[in-house]
Amino acid sequence: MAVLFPRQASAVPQYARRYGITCYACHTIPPVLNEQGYMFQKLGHHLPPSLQESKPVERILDLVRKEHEWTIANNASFAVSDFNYQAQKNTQQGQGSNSTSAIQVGSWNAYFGGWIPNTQFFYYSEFDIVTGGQTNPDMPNAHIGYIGGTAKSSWYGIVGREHLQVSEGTRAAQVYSLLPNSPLVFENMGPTNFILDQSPVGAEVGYTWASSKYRDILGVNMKVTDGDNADGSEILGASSKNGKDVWVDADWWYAPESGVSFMTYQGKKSQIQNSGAANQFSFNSRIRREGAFGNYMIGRDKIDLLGGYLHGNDDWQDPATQAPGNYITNGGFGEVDYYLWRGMALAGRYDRLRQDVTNGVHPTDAEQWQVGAEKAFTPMGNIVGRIAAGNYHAIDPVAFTGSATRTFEADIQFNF
Amino acid sequence: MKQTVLSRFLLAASLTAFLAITTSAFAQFGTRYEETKIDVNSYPAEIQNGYRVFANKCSACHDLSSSLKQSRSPQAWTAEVHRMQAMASSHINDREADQIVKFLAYDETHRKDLARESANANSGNSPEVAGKQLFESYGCSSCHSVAGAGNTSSPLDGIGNKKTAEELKRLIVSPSSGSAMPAMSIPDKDLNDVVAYLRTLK
Repeated sequence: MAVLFPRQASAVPQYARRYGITCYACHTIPPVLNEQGYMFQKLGHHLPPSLQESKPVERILDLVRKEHEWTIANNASFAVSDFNYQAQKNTQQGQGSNSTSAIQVGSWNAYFGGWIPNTQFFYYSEFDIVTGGQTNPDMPNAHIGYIGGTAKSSWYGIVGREHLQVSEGTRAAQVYSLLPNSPLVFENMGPTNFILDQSPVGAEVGYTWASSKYRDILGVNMKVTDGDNADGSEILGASSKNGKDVWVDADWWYAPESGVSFMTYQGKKSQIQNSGAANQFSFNSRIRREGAFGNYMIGRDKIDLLGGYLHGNDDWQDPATQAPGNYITNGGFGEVDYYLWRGMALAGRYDRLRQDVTNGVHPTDAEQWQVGAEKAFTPMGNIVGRIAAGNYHAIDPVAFTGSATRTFEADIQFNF
Repeated sequence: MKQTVLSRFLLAASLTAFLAITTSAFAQFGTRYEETKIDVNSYPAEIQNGYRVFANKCSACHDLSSSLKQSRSPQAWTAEVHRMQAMASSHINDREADQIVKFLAYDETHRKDLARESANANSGNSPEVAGKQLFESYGCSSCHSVAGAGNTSSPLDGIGNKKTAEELKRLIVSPSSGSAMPAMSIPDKDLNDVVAYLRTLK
């Protein structure tokens, strides 16, 4: 499950090209995945077959044999780009306010994903040229996997560099939404918190079961990684030592397009704090997360009700006094997505995150609301635009200063 | 400084690649998603309702052309719709499946049969010309392409050099079990004409 990493995923259009289908086959609106998109990932980048009660279940090898001829066009997305406009008004307690606005290339990525012909091996890599408006070439994903079993009962194993797990959870647990920014609960990077995803290299295994006609899908996944460059926070120095991380999640999809996900994350980091100073010390911290997320779709692609809760408990050590403690968070969000018609949706969301630091005066809250709309501009759904307005308000749990940000964002994404 | 120059170079190179490659990719999408429109006003009301369900449900994953071009017997259409019913995220209930099958079966025996008769009449007794028109009316281009037209995931260019007429007939009527291609139940004359056309693709 791809929680806890505030990064927008993109549609990967070569898959639609390969099968001659529209983007909506796997997305409600790109990049939001539906059950078929979830199964596509779980079956090693093969289109999930029909599961009829009276018919024999296809083996993964059968799917492999039916694949189209391997071509570059069927395996590479040459340009997935996002152009955006963002206006912000920031107000910092005791410092007044300032406004910024910019039109920029928000992201520019290329994807190479597919299968090794006539084998059950699959691969996926992502090359980012521009991320967050900054030209910063990077390859956050580069892994190879093996898929076995049948379309109804399958398993997979993966090794390599992997930001996002193969299973990205049910709809409420997917990092991306119809709105430009991920829910605050996923973006939880407060001043005492860690960024949990750190370009990890590791291994992942998973098992998936699907009922006839995909009325129910159960998926269990586990990933173990060796994270590098753990970026703690403004009060924790950069990591000089890798730390092991374990991610486990369980997903249950039930038709039509509703589901529940449970996840836990356990990580460990070792850092040198106050590096070079007289009071330098090693900080060995544990990072824990437990969460539950769910959605209920009323009608197919009509109204989607989404919500999630995430509990965090991180070790924390005061850099001045070295007193040990904890940074505890309880975050939740609620969202309503209304699909007016295929390729057009309205969305509204409210997030609240409570933060409590040992020896802090009292818990503080961060709140965010956003409303917006998303529209696809082509019949196949590969060009989509979004517009959103939001408000963010938070009190720093260490400094106890408040800040508020009002945002207006518009972007258009091209997937080729 | 070096970082900035490298960044600008990468951005410029990416922009050039973007313009060059997306143009061809967009053209490919455009070809594949070329729409086939049909007039159902003359169809009975029940069949028109079926068309609306078909248009709403099936277009979620396919452009409608791929289904409107393909040709199958009513039994084959029933089996195909039931197969689609059991795909993830299709969400077609039994009543809707029945409506879709009725529309497709009606459309098959009216619009598509007329199109094939017209193709035969206009071919001037040339099997190759008739075969080319039948290739379209049987919906072969929803999965195959010729000279870049149609679904380019399975091109047929040069197949006339690779397969004999008998091999082509066998592939059309009874494709291998691992193949995604459905077995086509078509009259012998149409089969011979389509094969004659395919043999010209050299």
